[in-house]
Amino acid sequence: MASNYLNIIEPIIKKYDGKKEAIISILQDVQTQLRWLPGDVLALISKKLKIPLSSLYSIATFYKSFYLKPRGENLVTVCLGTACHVRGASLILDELERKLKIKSGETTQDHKITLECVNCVGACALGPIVIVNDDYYGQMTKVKVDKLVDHLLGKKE
Amino acid sequence: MKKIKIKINGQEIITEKGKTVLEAAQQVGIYIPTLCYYSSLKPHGGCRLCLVQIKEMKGFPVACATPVEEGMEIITDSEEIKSLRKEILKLLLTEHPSACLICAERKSCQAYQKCIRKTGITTGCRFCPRDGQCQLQKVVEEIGLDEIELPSNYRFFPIEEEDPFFGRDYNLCVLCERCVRVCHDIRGAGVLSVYFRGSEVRVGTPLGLSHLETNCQFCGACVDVCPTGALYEKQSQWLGVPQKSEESICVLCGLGCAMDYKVKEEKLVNSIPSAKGFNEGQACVKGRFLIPYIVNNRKRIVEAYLKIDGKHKPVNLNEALDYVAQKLSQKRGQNFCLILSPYLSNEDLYIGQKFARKVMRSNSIDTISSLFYHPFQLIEGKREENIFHKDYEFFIVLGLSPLEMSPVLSIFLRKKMKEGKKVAVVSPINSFFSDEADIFVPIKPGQENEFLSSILGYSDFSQFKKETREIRDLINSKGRTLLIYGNEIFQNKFDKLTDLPKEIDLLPVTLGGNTYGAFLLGCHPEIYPGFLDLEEGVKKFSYLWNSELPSLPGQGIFKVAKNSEKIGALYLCGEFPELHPPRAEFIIYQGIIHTPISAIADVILPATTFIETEGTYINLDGIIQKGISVTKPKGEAKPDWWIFSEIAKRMGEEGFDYQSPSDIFKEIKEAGLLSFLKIGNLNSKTKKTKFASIESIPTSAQSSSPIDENSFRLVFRPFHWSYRDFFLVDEIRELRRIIKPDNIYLNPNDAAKLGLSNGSQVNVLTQNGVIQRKTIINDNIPEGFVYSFPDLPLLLSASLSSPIEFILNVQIKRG
Repeated sequence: MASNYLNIIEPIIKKYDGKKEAIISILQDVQTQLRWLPGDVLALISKKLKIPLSSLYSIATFYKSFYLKPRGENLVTVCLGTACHVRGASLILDELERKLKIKSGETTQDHKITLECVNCVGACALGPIVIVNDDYYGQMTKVKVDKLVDHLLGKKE
Repeated sequence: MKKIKIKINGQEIITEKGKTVLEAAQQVGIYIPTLCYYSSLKPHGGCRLCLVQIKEMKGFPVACATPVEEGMEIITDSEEIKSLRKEILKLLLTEHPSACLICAERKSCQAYQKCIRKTGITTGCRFCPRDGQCQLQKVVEEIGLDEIELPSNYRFFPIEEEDPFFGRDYNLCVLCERCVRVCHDIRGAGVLSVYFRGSEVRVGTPLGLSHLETNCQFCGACVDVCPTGALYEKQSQWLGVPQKSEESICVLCGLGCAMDYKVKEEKLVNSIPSAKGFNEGQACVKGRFLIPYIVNNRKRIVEAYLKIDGKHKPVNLNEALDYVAQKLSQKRGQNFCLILSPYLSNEDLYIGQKFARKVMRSNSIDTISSLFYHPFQLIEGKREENIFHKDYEFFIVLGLSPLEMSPVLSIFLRKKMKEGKKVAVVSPINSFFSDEADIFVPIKPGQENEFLSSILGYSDFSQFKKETREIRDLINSKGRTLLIYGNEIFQNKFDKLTDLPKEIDLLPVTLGGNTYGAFLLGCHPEIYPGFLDLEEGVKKFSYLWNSELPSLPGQGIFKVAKNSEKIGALYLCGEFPELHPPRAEFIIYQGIIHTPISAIADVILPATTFIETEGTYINLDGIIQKGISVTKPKGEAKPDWWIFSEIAKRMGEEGFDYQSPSDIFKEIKEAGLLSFLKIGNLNSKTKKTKFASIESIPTSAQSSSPIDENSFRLVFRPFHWSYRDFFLVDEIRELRRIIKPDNIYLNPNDAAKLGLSNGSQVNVLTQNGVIQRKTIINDNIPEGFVYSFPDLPLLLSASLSSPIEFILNVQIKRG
């Protein structure tokens, strides 16, 4: 496992000339490939760049966009903004949590789906809205949610 | 420094440019509350308690991070500031259990603070050490807070008690980041940091690792800077507020850091590095945490014992001394052998060898240091000023790992690096310290000496040509260079060090707290005090001591350890490598702790530790430092010099009438033994030292023979985890969790070749026996080499002469 990570990390560090200052870009690039930042990866980067692991962990926990837990192949985002909320977004979220057997912010056991909430995506007219990866699904209902989840889970690689 | 004039609260103050407003106020005794400020750390401006008003500056700048300027008018105590501070403190305290801080009954409660459950668990500091060190208490007192109307926000962090030596209750943390800053900026370890953000911010180790899993050195610096009870020392946690604090030195290594010893009811509570010493408030795990374990150990020898019918019976000390005197008067001659410790004070060592030579007529005096060094190796050098204060431009670290041998030295070097000085580390092992160095040369073990002579231009080293050139250029361009060298150099041949270019000064880093003192004062079978050879020594000292003295070489520790059967009387007052149990006709054991060797002694005499008696020690830097008596000796324990003198007196000898160590020191000084050393106190900033210089250095076994396919070179690391007869790792369970003498460290590639994983049991086969070890895979270890802590019996049997060889050819087989 560690050597796999090394194959990913080394070209990225090289891309930034091994500069310590590029740490955020490096972490972002690594995350693009792995979808999250495993502890082993942070330890390897710390060794390569000679930055204390504690400093890396500090950066990774400070920014919301870095994930220290495994992320699924598909990101399902539920909007809980005011407009979506009054149109029953919380019911949509409940349904998703029940169907996927995970809580918001978690990932399914098979690493297929990660469920998240946001506070407005600026598409209030479509509320309640669910976003799967880059696709927007507007005016969601429980029935639509069930279909969507079945579709996502049934999707073969 | 340019003097400037400022005004604080209307008072005119003359201060220096470059100081902060806070420092200027403190200088004249104006109180400004602070939490995150710590004198040796960079200003942080995190707690906002020190905010002040400055004329013509917007808002409320923080005093700790605002530099003073000419004509500044500062107000520190207006009503507006006071109420602001109060609000800030309230917010700060919503996350800190505050029952003990704001309770109306807190004054009358002080006397009963023994109880730990007076307040609810969630609102009281259940794990607070209550050692009188809480800065938060002082701040609340000064700012004056009786009520917090904000709801309490207890964080419910679990208490972290699993790691050795110190525990952590981050529920008490006020996020001042002092521990984070000391860990990163001063120690360079970078174990602690601040994680998450907003209301979730917390301090701790990365990824929730325990401190044992990080590269924590357990130096305790974070505990010492913590203004609350969030980080606390476990061992002194429930001992309460110490009654007195005495400054003295720590002798657990040759640096001799200044420490504040906290004492309660004549019992040592703990030892905290003193900010006044050259160590500037820093220490290592030994000085910070281990001293109470040594002094208060339940296995301490507190009375004298005689072996009667094969069993040790406690007896009156006088009786034991009479018995020893009577026995020893029949054992005069070279067959009397005295083993001293390189951790003893100059006075103890001097009287010990005087006793052996004058009373017992024997030159068989030695210390364990002879196994590692030849005395002539140590009179090398030509330093003239204290290295901690002299302006060296370039430092070369060779043949030692400062992080391991002497963490305080590595802090000193880090500081120099920050000041822009250059540091070169030449070591087979990479560490976070060598990572920071300007030049890192990963030579192979055993090549240290070769590399040294190539830097000095005596020979050419085929590898690392670029690095060698860089180092040479730096010596030439920078001038004043300090070469810090350690055990790996001593174990190699070196005979050219006296021809050093004049810009290079030397700092040998040796094991033992007073190794230099032991050799200087003649604790060696072939050397009289003052590094005199036998002939000169007899001439000088037979006159001084008014007695006939032995002129033949005595038996050294190497010989005695290999074969002690023919010894008439073996007087053990220090570490003895146990190849076989000593089998002399008569064995005296004078020490601080019961050990397997003390169990076979005929007489056991109780000795004091360094904090129970006065004495002087010569540190690595060549300064004579004085240690004072901090607590009373345990039980009947007596200083070693006193015991030697008493036995001598009982044997009818004259010249042992000493009242105190200062009488002995006077005698040492009058004998001219210290003429080239400067007597310093802990705070001395200057000194003049002149080391003698000698041409030829005896060589120990060469250690760079080639490696064949299947064998490895086993490198034994210097083992400094002892104090006299007290083996720290054996006796202190907590320390055994950090230092594992049973481990063997090897490179991942070698481990793969042998099919070994972390924690495999292996047999290490040498020509002289097998040792069992547990593998630890570490990619800092060079390929083809394995590292371990020394097995002295094995090394003794493998070596033909002393100093012994520390690199062996071995084979490794799965156990």
